Amino acid sequence: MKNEPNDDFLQRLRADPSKKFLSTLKANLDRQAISQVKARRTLFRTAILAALIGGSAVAVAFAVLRGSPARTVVRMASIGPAQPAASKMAAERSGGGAPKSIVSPSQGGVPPPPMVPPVTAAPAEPAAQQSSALFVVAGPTAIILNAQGIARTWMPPASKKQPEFNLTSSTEALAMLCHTHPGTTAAGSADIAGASRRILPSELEHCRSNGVTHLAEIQSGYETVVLARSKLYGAPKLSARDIFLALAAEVPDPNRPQGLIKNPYRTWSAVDSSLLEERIEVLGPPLSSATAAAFRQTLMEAGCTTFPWLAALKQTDSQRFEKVCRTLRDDGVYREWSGRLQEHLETYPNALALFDYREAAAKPETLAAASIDGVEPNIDTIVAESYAGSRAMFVYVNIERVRGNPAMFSFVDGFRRSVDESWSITTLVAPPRQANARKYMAPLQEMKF
Amino acid sequence: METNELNWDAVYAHEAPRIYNYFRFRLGQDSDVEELTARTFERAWRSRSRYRRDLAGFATWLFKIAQNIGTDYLRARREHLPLDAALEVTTDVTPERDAEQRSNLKRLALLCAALPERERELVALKYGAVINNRAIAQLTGLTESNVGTILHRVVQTLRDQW
Repeated sequence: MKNEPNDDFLQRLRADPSKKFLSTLKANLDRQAISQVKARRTLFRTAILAALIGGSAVAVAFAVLRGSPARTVVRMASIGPAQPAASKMAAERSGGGAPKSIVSPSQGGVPPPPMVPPVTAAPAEPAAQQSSALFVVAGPTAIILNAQGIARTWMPPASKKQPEFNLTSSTEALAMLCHTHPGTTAAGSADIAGASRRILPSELEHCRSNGVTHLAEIQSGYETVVLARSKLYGAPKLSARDIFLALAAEVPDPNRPQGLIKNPYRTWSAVDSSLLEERIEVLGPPLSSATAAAFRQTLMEAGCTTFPWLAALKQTDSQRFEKVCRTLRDDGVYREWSGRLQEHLETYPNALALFDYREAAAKPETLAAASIDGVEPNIDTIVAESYAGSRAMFVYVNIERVRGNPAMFSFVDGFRRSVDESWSITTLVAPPRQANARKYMAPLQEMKF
Repeated sequence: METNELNWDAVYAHEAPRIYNYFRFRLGQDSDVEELTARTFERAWRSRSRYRRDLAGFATWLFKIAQNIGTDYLRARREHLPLDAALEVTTDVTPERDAEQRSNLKRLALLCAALPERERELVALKYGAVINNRAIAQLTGLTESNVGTILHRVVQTLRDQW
């Protein structure tokens, strides 16, 4: 046992604060508490009024939307000449609803047929043949990471030829799939493309005109991000609009309709008077990361589009839309985290951190993820697509290429199984497994839009 | 346990002197201590609805806030160090030679100036805030035994120089 050193000299240094100081501070705190109660009462009254108005609106919206068909998770699309799928698909989309008559897992479906499609058109030269890779996968980061993981797990042991993975945007990846990329070179083609959105009818038409006539569509999971803080302080309640106003580089000018100003907001209460007067501070991964990209394209964009004139830009000036809605401020309010993140979050009640959903969900004892517009991020809300910080990811396979390419077959089968068995290798949240569900890879001729 | 089960009057009466002394030890002076104590309680007061008693001891939560405020204050003071203070730091005045002319708190500050930041923090938490080694371990990320070992060595060093 150690001999305790004499620490009396330290003990004696303590001093009591003056009574005047203690009573003055206590009185200030009590006053603050009273004013907060008043503010809460006002907020409560406002909320009741909003609920009455909003409830009516929701009821009307529900009446309009009910009857929309359930989405499919996995399906195969024929875009051959005999099946004018793209135009039907376009017609469905223009109507604003999900594609109809698609056999979904929840609707029963049929056993998956062999993945050998009928040949209806002379295929273009495979990307893999051009690049000397087994096959080529292109897409955004989340898809590529997932694909690499699946390749490692499901494909035969390494050989001289390996799959090639090209990191690119969704639009570029789909263009590569359809060989509409400028200069159809080895680097410009893909056998499998990942996208953070569904393929557009115009892109399907491009595919068909380039001889890519049979595609499989697999909804491979959901890329989901959350803003979280230390569980010490409970889950924040924010709106997508709050997040956009807090973190965008430019925000709408309150004094000039349809004008933008450099983001002046420093506290959450400045963004929304119902929030606390706390400094806005968000820590996150590098802006080049998949998580930051997903954040910009989900939560930021969702908040941005709450301003109708900014939402309209998506159609009229997509470049400006992306610049305004997806550019984060660079004045230090959002900054990359560095070491001791958890400690920082515990120390600073106002500090939020951006995480991939799976990362945050793995630490329920330390992190509390923010609800967005009243929706908590969890598997149910992600799959229901009601949580604003999530987006479905799709993989499109040129199934002409699967014929005679066992490695690619193994890969695609592995991808499909990852969806079937409700797991995902990297960051994607897999759709939940449904009882007796059969993932549906429809014979092409039966595919209906 | 619900937040509102905390008796905030009792909490304030118990914790305010500890926070106050934490800052006295941390800063080695009496000036600004009241301001930092007030700032700590005001921040905790504003955030008190978020405190989850089942997740962390109240003192741990409160001292996390105090540590944060103290760190910000010291960082700002370093960045804006007055010229005379800077000269004082860089002179060859030894603690032994000057100590007799200074208050005990100032003497402690001078002695602590030679210690690493982490050890100064441990002294402030242990003797200013009167927090036990286990809670200090929670606040600093050190193990409890490590806290005990470091404090033992630091107190011995300070005692020898006192």
